Amino acid sequence: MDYAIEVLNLTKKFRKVKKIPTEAGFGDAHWIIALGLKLKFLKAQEIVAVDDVNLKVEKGELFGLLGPNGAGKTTLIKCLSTLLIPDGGTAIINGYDVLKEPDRVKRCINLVGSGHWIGFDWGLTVRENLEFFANLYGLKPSLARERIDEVLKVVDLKDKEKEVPTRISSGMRQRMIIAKGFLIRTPIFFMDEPTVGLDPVSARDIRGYIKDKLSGELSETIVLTTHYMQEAEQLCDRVAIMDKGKIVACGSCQELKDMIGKRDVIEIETVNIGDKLIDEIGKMDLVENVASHIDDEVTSTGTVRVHTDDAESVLPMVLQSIEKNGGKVLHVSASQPTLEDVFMKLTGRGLVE
Amino acid sequence: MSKQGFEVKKADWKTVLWAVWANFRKAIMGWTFFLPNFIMDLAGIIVNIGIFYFLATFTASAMGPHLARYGGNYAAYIVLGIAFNAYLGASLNSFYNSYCMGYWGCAFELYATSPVGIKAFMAGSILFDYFISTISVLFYILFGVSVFSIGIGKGSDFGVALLAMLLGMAAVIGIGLIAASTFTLLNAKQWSNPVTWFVNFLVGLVSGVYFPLDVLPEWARTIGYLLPQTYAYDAARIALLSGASITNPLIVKDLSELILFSFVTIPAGVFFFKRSLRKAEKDGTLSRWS
Repeated sequence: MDYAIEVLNLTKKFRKVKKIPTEAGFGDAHWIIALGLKLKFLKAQEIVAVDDVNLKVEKGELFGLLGPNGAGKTTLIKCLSTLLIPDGGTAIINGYDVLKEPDRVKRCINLVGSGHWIGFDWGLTVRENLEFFANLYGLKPSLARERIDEVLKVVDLKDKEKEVPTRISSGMRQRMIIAKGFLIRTPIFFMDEPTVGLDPVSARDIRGYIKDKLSGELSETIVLTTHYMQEAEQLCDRVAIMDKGKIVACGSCQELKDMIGKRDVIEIETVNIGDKLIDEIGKMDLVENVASHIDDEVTSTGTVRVHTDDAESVLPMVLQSIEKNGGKVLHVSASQPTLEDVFMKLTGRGLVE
Repeated sequence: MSKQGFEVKKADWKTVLWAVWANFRKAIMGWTFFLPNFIMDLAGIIVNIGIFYFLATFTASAMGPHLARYGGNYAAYIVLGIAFNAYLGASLNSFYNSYCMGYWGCAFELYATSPVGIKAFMAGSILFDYFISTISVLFYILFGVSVFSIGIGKGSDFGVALLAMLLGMAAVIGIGLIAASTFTLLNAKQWSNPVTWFVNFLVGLVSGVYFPLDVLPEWARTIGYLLPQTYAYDAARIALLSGASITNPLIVKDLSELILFSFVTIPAGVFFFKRSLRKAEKDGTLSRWS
């Protein structure tokens, strides 16, 4: 088998250290405080962000890393893209070792992250920023122009190309980050939560481009981190579920869902979901796992998912418990297993809590 | 194993130079974008010259006996001191400032994964610091010569002065690299660090920027001799104000000291700076969003 990525016992640890207050205005005395924190740092505790991870991604595969916030997905991506040096193990990217040949690895990969950490220039327009990146990667001007036109259409920023980043919305800035990633063609493309903060229509268009153009037409190997299970199910050939730095399961979406077996999954939409209710349901004899996620923070309305081998006996008890805790059931259904159910089975917790 | 014609090409010198230029241009755009600040920066240079000129006028008689080797004119002495200090100050501070800009502006991760690397980003912003220093120096010299009639011109050895400044810059760049490394090694991230703070403090007091070393007590002079700036200022002033040539024993001594300093500070600076980058890659602190 020809692998694009092989992760071999990769481990990354961080020391937990008190954050320096940003822009706090300590002036010239700041370094004294910094030295103080440095001493504190020496005694700080260690956190294992990526814990002995082994993984193989085939060439041309669209691979998902699914897990809750803090699972270690971004840290793993940063190690694979040479931005972070692992503490143990290594990874082979397109045949090159990230520890021994980081410069070669950099030339095979492309990286798109979410949020602020890709530094755009606020003085340049959207188009000028993209031209800047195209130049940085040595794209010929005619190709750059053509590519920029194409990606601006994909991310729906054509009518904003003459605006500076400070004058467009945060969602548009996120689309600009994605556009920058789509400019460059490399064998391997890492995408860290690319659709976070996007409206549903933009997210759908971008997923379509990833699936059809980058993966389908160009056969790029894509590793995409997400905590949206629908995104993983819709896009990925295979998914690795991460929790607390470890890969807890890996396979195609169907293979992962088959892990649930013939267990019943009950989905109850209700108001007033609280920790007490979830604890109470979790302690019921026939309930294997329970998780919830809130859709409306004001009314605590959301969905409770219950795994059980005996839905007939459990359902009345759960409904009674909801009523007792001041809830109001809006809808009850027997659900098909999802990747969230797999995560619940493996970790005893919901993907989004 | 990689697909043919699919990799990003290794950056050629044209791309690297373009990236340096683009960052330099961006820094200039940022500097001139806020007009009031831009005007205040320029006005500050003129105000500084005025203040030091009047200070020089009042203290000229007291300083006179100590200025024999520099032509005896305290106004000329002080204007040149400030001008030279602008260049050596840029050499000392620009690496750390550039590192701060890369980190706080979230540019390092972007450049680190690009073919040109973070050095292209840093080179652009460092070049900008030297550009600003050049403007300051031109103002200082122009005002010094035209308004305050300082005696530069006839008999001045500009070549030796330039050599002294270049050697001084080389020696101080090594210290500047050590200063930049404190960003990660000592976690000094808030636009100030112990190395430049301490060196700038000493330079102001004992390197001869504002007054000749002769007026200082013995112990203070000894500290001054531990700074490369002391030798650079001394040689450049002697060359410009007394017309001393490269064969003058005072110049030979100063330039030799600067070469020795460079042999120590540059390797040390490169060593610490590489260590700090390695640490940033280990800690995940190339970016403020780690």
